[in-house]
Amino acid sequence: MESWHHLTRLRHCWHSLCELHGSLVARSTIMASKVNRRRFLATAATGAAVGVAASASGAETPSIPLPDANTKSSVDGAGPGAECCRPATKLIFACSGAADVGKIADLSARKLSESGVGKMSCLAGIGGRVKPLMEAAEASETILAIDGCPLQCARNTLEQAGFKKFEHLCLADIGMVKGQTPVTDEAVAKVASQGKTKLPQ
Amino acid sequence: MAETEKKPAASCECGTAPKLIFSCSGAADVGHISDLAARKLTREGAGKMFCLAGIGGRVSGIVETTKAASKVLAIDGCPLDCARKSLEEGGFEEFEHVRLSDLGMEKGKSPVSDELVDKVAAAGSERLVC
Repeated sequence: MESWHHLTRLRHCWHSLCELHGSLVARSTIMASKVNRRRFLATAATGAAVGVAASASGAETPSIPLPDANTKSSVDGAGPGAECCRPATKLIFACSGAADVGKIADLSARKLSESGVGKMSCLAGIGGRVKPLMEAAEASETILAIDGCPLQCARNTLEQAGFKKFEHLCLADIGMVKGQTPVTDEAVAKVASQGKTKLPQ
Repeated sequence: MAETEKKPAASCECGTAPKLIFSCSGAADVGHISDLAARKLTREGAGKMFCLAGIGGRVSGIVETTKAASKVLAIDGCPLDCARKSLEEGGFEEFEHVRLSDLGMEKGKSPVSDELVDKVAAAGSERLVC
Protein backbone atom coordinates (compact mmCIF):
# COMPACT_ATOMS: atom_id res chain seq x y z
CA MET A 1 0.00 0.00 0.00
CA GLU A 2 2.79 2.34 0.93
CA SER A 3 4.59 1.64 -2.30
CA TRP A 4 1.36 2.40 -4.19
CA HIS A 5 1.20 5.86 -2.56
CA HIS A 6 4.83 6.35 -3.38
CA LEU A 7 4.17 5.52 -7.01
CA THR A 8 1.19 7.94 -7.21
CA ARG A 9 3.27 10.76 -5.78
CA LEU A 10 6.00 10.04 -8.28
CA ARG A 11 3.41 10.15 -11.09
CA HIS A 12 2.17 13.56 -9.88
CA CYS A 13 5.69 14.85 -9.79
CA TRP A 14 6.30 13.62 -13.33
CA HIS A 15 3.10 15.34 -14.59
CA SER A 16 4.07 18.58 -12.90
CA LEU A 17 7.47 18.45 -14.53
CA CYS A 18 5.86 17.83 -17.93
CA GLU A 19 3.50 20.81 -17.51
CA LEU A 20 6.36 23.04 -16.48
CA HIS A 21 8.36 21.96 -19.52
CA GLY A 22 5.37 22.58 -21.81
CA SER A 23 4.76 26.09 -20.52
CA LEU A 24 8.45 26.94 -20.83
CA VAL A 25 8.50 25.76 -24.47
CA ALA A 26 5.35 27.75 -25.27
CA ARG A 27 6.78 30.82 -23.62
CA SER A 28 10.05 30.62 -25.52
CA THR A 29 8.09 30.24 -28.80
CA ILE A 30 6.07 33.39 -28.07
CA MET A 31 9.24 35.27 -27.19
CA ALA A 32 10.89 34.10 -30.39
CA SER A 33 7.93 35.25 -32.48
CA LYS A 34 8.03 38.65 -30.80
CA VAL A 35 11.71 38.94 -31.56
CA ASN A 36 11.06 38.00 -35.19
CA ARG A 37 8.27 40.57 -35.43
CA ARG A 38 10.53 43.27 -34.08
CA ARG A 39 13.28 42.24 -36.46
CA PHE A 40 10.82 42.33 -39.38
CA LEU A 41 9.65 45.78 -38.37
CA ALA A 42 13.17 47.03 -38.03
CA THR A 43 13.93 45.88 -41.56
CA ALA A 44 10.69 46.52 -43.42
CA ALA A 45 9.39 49.63 -41.76
CA THR A 46 12.61 51.46 -41.43
CA GLY A 47 14.78 50.09 -44.16
CA ALA A 48 14.04 53.28 -46.00
CA ALA A 49 14.80 55.54 -43.09
CA VAL A 50 18.20 54.08 -42.34
CA GLY A 51 19.84 56.03 -45.07
CA VAL A 52 17.91 59.24 -44.85
CA ALA A 53 19.71 62.13 -46.33
CA ALA A 54 22.73 63.77 -44.86
CA SER A 55 21.93 67.29 -45.85
CA ALA A 56 19.24 69.30 -47.50
CA SER A 57 19.94 71.20 -50.65
CA GLY A 58 18.73 74.24 -52.51
CA ALA A 59 18.51 77.83 -51.40
CA GLU A 60 14.88 77.57 -50.30
CA THR A 61 15.45 74.46 -48.25
CA PRO A 62 15.97 75.02 -44.56
CA SER A 63 18.96 73.32 -43.09
CA ILE A 64 17.52 70.46 -41.19
CA PRO A 65 19.89 68.01 -39.61
CA LEU A 66 19.31 64.53 -40.92
CA PRO A 67 20.91 61.28 -39.85
CA ASP A 68 23.80 59.85 -41.78
CA ALA A 69 23.57 56.55 -43.59
CA ASN A 70 24.95 54.61 -40.65
CA THR A 71 22.55 55.95 -38.07
CA LYS A 72 20.67 53.00 -36.64
CA SER A 73 17.26 53.38 -35.14
CA SER A 74 16.57 52.67 -31.50
CA VAL A 75 14.62 49.65 -32.71
CA ASP A 76 17.88 47.93 -33.36
CA GLY A 77 18.44 48.05 -29.63
CA ALA A 78 21.41 46.81 -27.67
CA GLY A 79 21.69 43.31 -26.34
CA PRO A 80 19.13 40.57 -25.97
CA GLY A 81 17.62 42.11 -22.88
CA ALA A 82 16.49 45.12 -24.84
CA GLU A 83 13.93 43.12 -26.86
CA CYS A 84 11.05 43.40 -24.42
CA CYS A 85 11.55 47.08 -23.75
CA ARG A 86 11.84 48.43 -27.26
CA PRO A 87 9.61 51.34 -28.18
CA ALA A 88 6.42 50.65 -30.10
CA THR A 89 6.55 51.21 -33.83
CA LYS A 90 5.30 54.62 -34.79
CA LEU A 91 5.12 55.36 -38.49
CA ILE A 92 4.80 58.81 -40.03
CA PHE A 93 3.40 59.49 -43.47
CA ALA A 94 3.57 62.94 -45.05
CA CYS A 95 1.59 64.02 -48.09
CA SER A 96 4.84 65.54 -49.46
CA GLY A 97 2.71 67.58 -51.82
CA ALA A 98 3.91 70.07 -54.39
CA ALA A 99 2.90 73.20 -52.51
CA ASP A 100 4.79 74.97 -49.73
CA VAL A 101 2.68 73.22 -47.10
CA GLY A 102 3.39 69.86 -48.76
CA LYS A 103 7.08 70.48 -48.48
CA ILE A 104 6.73 71.54 -44.85
CA ALA A 105 4.79 68.33 -44.17
CA ASP A 106 7.56 66.34 -45.86
CA LEU A 107 10.39 68.02 -43.97
CA SER A 108 8.64 67.78 -40.63
CA ALA A 109 8.15 64.02 -41.12
CA ARG A 110 11.88 63.72 -41.86
CA LYS A 111 12.67 65.81 -38.80
CA LEU A 112 10.48 63.67 -36.55
CA SER A 113 12.10 60.57 -38.00
CA GLU A 114 15.56 61.95 -37.44
CA SER A 115 14.78 62.85 -33.85
CA GLY A 116 13.52 59.33 -33.19
CA VAL A 117 9.97 60.33 -32.32
CA GLY A 118 8.70 57.98 -35.02
CA LYS A 119 9.78 56.68 -38.40
CA MET A 120 8.89 58.29 -41.66
CA SER A 121 7.63 55.74 -44.14
CA CYS A 122 6.74 56.04 -47.82
CA LEU A 123 3.14 57.11 -48.44
CA ALA A 124 3.55 56.24 -52.13
CA GLY A 125 4.06 52.65 -51.01
CA ILE A 126 0.58 52.71 -49.51
CA GLY A 127 -0.94 54.28 -52.62
CA GLY A 128 0.89 51.71 -54.74
CA ARG A 129 -0.03 48.83 -52.39
CA VAL A 130 3.65 47.89 -52.17
CA LYS A 131 3.72 44.78 -50.00
CA PRO A 132 6.59 45.45 -47.56
CA LEU A 133 5.35 48.96 -46.88
CA MET A 134 1.75 47.83 -46.47
CA GLU A 135 2.81 45.09 -44.07
CA ALA A 136 4.96 47.47 -42.05
CA ALA A 137 2.05 49.89 -41.74
CA GLU A 138 -0.29 47.08 -40.73
CA ALA A 139 2.17 45.92 -38.08
CA SER A 140 2.77 49.38 -36.64
CA GLU A 141 1.19 50.40 -33.39
CA THR A 142 0.60 54.03 -34.25
CA ILE A 143 0.40 55.88 -37.55
CA LEU A 144 0.58 59.63 -37.98
CA ALA A 145 -0.50 61.19 -41.27
CA ILE A 146 0.62 64.75 -41.96
CA ASP A 147 -1.34 66.65 -44.59
CA GLY A 148 -0.38 70.02 -45.98
CA CYS A 149 -3.79 71.20 -47.10
CA PRO A 150 -7.47 70.46 -46.58
CA LEU A 151 -7.55 68.06 -49.55
CA GLN A 152 -6.10 65.61 -47.03
CA CYS A 153 -4.44 63.39 -49.60
CA ALA A 154 -2.39 61.48 -47.02
CA ARG A 155 -5.47 60.69 -44.94
CA ASN A 156 -7.39 59.66 -48.06
CA THR A 157 -4.52 57.46 -49.26
CA LEU A 158 -4.42 55.58 -45.96
CA GLU A 159 -8.19 55.22 -45.88
CA GLN A 160 -8.34 54.01 -49.48
CA ALA A 161 -5.85 51.32 -48.52
CA GLY A 162 -8.02 50.19 -45.61
CA PHE A 163 -6.37 51.97 -42.69
CA LYS A 164 -9.04 53.34 -40.41
CA LYS A 165 -7.30 54.21 -37.21
CA PHE A 166 -4.48 56.73 -37.28
CA GLU A 167 -3.50 60.10 -35.96
CA HIS A 168 -3.85 63.03 -38.30
CA LEU A 169 -2.30 66.47 -38.52
CA CYS A 170 -3.41 68.99 -41.11
CA LEU A 171 -1.26 72.09 -41.51
CA ALA A 172 -4.32 74.17 -42.36
CA ASP A 173 -5.59 73.46 -38.85
CA ILE A 174 -2.54 75.11 -37.32
CA GLY A 175 -2.84 78.25 -39.37
CA MET A 176 -0.67 77.35 -42.36
CA VAL A 177 -2.34 78.45 -45.57
CA LYS A 178 -1.39 76.78 -48.85
CA GLY A 179 0.62 79.13 -51.03
CA GLN A 180 1.16 81.59 -48.23
CA THR A 181 3.45 79.65 -45.94
CA PRO A 182 7.12 79.94 -46.83
CA VAL A 183 9.18 76.87 -46.03
CA THR A 184 11.23 77.85 -43.00
CA ASP A 185 12.91 76.06 -40.12
CA GLU A 186 10.32 77.61 -37.81
CA ALA A 187 7.37 76.29 -39.80
CA VAL A 188 8.91 72.81 -39.98
CA ALA A 189 9.69 72.85 -36.25
CA LYS A 190 6.12 73.92 -35.47
CA VAL A 191 4.63 71.04 -37.45
CA ALA A 192 7.12 68.57 -36.01
CA SER A 193 6.24 69.74 -32.53
CA GLN A 194 2.52 69.32 -33.20
CA GLY A 195 3.16 65.91 -34.73
CA LYS A 196 5.10 64.83 -31.68
CA THR A 197 2.13 65.51 -29.42
CA LYS A 198 0.01 63.17 -31.54
CA LEU A 199 2.37 60.26 -31.07
CA PRO A 200 2.60 58.30 -27.84
CA GLN A 201 5.74 59.10 -25.87
CA MET B 1 19.98 77.82 -84.34
CA ALA B 2 21.14 75.57 -81.57
CA GLU B 3 19.25 77.74 -79.12
CA THR B 4 16.02 77.30 -81.04
CA GLU B 5 16.40 73.55 -80.91
CA LYS B 6 17.07 73.56 -77.19
CA LYS B 7 14.19 75.75 -76.15
CA PRO B 8 12.71 74.93 -72.74
CA ALA B 9 10.44 71.91 -72.66
CA ALA B 10 7.60 73.95 -71.18
CA SER B 11 7.40 76.15 -74.26
CA CYS B 12 6.83 73.35 -76.74
CA GLU B 13 3.60 73.38 -78.69
CA CYS B 14 2.02 70.21 -77.40
CA GLY B 15 -1.08 71.97 -76.14
CA THR B 16 -1.92 73.88 -73.04
CA ALA B 17 -2.31 70.85 -70.81
CA PRO B 18 0.41 70.75 -68.21
CA LYS B 19 3.18 68.23 -67.85
CA LEU B 20 2.89 66.76 -64.40
CA ILE B 21 5.66 65.38 -62.23
CA PHE B 22 5.07 62.92 -59.42
CA SER B 23 7.87 61.95 -57.07
CA CYS B 24 7.75 59.10 -54.59
CA SER B 25 9.13 61.49 -51.92
CA GLY B 26 10.01 58.46 -49.86
CA ALA B 27 11.64 58.39 -46.46
CA ALA B 28 15.10 57.35 -47.65
CA ASP B 29 17.82 59.57 -49.08
CA VAL B 30 16.81 58.62 -52.63
CA GLY B 31 13.19 59.49 -51.83
CA HIS B 32 14.27 62.90 -50.62
CA ILE B 33 16.34 63.42 -53.77
CA SER B 34 13.39 62.48 -55.98
CA ASP B 35 11.25 64.99 -54.09
CA LEU B 36 13.79 67.79 -54.47
CA ALA B 37 14.32 66.97 -58.15
CA ALA B 38 10.58 67.26 -58.83
CA ARG B 39 10.51 70.66 -57.12
CA LYS B 40 13.55 71.77 -59.09
CA LEU B 41 11.95 70.74 -62.39
CA THR B 42 8.90 72.78 -61.40
CA ARG B 43 11.02 75.85 -60.66
CA GLU B 44 12.76 75.47 -63.98
CA GLY B 45 9.46 75.23 -65.84
CA ALA B 46 10.05 71.75 -67.25
CA GLY B 47 6.77 70.63 -65.77
CA LYS B 48 4.69 70.97 -62.65
CA MET B 49 5.16 68.89 -59.56
CA PHE B 50 1.88 67.38 -58.47
CA CYS B 51 0.71 65.54 -55.37
CA LEU B 52 1.16 61.77 -55.71
CA ALA B 53 -0.82 61.33 -52.50
CA GLY B 54 -3.78 62.79 -54.36
CA ILE B 55 -3.61 59.85 -56.75
CA GLY B 56 -3.27 57.32 -53.94
CA GLY B 57 -6.12 59.02 -52.11
CA ARG B 58 -8.29 59.26 -55.28
CA VAL B 59 -8.75 62.99 -54.70
CA SER B 60 -10.98 63.86 -57.65
CA GLY B 61 -9.46 67.23 -58.55
CA ILE B 62 -5.96 65.77 -58.68
CA VAL B 63 -7.02 62.62 -60.55
CA GLU B 64 -8.93 64.65 -63.16
CA THR B 65 -6.07 67.10 -63.72
CA THR B 66 -3.71 64.17 -64.16
CA LYS B 67 -6.01 62.59 -66.75
CA ALA B 68 -5.90 65.87 -68.67
CA ALA B 69 -2.11 66.22 -68.52
CA SER B 70 -0.15 66.22 -71.76
CA LYS B 71 2.59 64.21 -70.14
CA VAL B 72 3.19 62.56 -66.78
CA LEU B 73 6.56 61.80 -65.24
CA ALA B 74 7.00 59.55 -62.22
CA ILE B 75 10.26 59.72 -60.26
CA ASP B 76 11.05 56.77 -58.02
CA GLY B 77 13.88 56.65 -55.54
CA CYS B 78 14.29 52.91 -55.28
CA PRO B 79 13.34 49.73 -57.15
CA LEU B 80 10.15 49.34 -55.12
CA ASP B 81 8.71 51.76 -57.70
CA CYS B 82 6.05 53.13 -55.35
CA ALA B 83 5.29 56.16 -57.52
CA ARG B 84 4.87 54.03 -60.64
CA LYS B 85 2.68 51.54 -58.81
CA SER B 86 0.64 54.31 -57.24
CA LEU B 87 -0.11 55.76 -60.68
CA GLU B 88 -0.93 52.32 -62.05
CA GLU B 89 -3.24 51.63 -59.10
CA GLY B 90 -4.90 54.93 -59.95
CA GLY B 91 -5.56 53.71 -63.48
CA PHE B 92 -2.74 55.50 -65.30
CA GLU B 93 -0.93 53.36 -67.81
CA GLU B 94 1.13 55.69 -69.94
CA PHE B 95 3.73 57.84 -68.29
CA GLU B 96 7.42 58.49 -68.25
CA HIS B 97 9.48 56.98 -65.47
CA VAL B 98 12.81 57.79 -63.86
CA ARG B 99 14.28 55.47 -61.25
CA LEU B 100 17.21 56.76 -59.22
CA SER B 101 18.75 53.32 -58.85
CA ASP B 102 19.01 53.24 -62.65
CA LEU B 103 21.09 56.40 -62.39
CA GLY B 104 23.49 54.71 -60.00
CA MET B 105 21.98 56.06 -56.80
CA GLU B 106 21.69 53.40 -54.16
CA LYS B 107 19.19 53.65 -51.34
CA GLY B 108 20.89 54.52 -48.07
CA LYS B 109 24.14 55.35 -49.79
CA SER B 110 23.21 58.50 -51.69
CA PRO B 111 23.46 61.53 -49.42
CA VAL B 112 21.25 64.36 -50.61
CA SER B 113 23.32 66.86 -52.57
CA ASP B 114 22.79 69.50 -55.23
CA GLU B 115 24.72 67.33 -57.68
CA LEU B 116 22.46 64.32 -57.28
CA VAL B 117 19.32 66.45 -57.41
CA ASP B 118 20.60 68.10 -60.60
CA LYS B 119 21.38 64.70 -62.11
CA VAL B 120 17.85 63.44 -61.46
CA ALA B 121 16.30 66.68 -62.65
CA ALA B 122 18.30 66.44 -65.89
CA ALA B 123 17.13 62.88 -66.47
CA GLY B 124 13.55 63.95 -65.74
CA SER B 125 13.79 66.96 -68.02
CA GLU B 126 14.83 64.72 -70.91
CA ARG B 127 11.75 62.56 -70.44
CA LEU B 128 9.48 65.59 -70.43
CA VAL B 129 10.64 66.93 -73.78
CA CYS B 130 8.04 66.43 -76.50
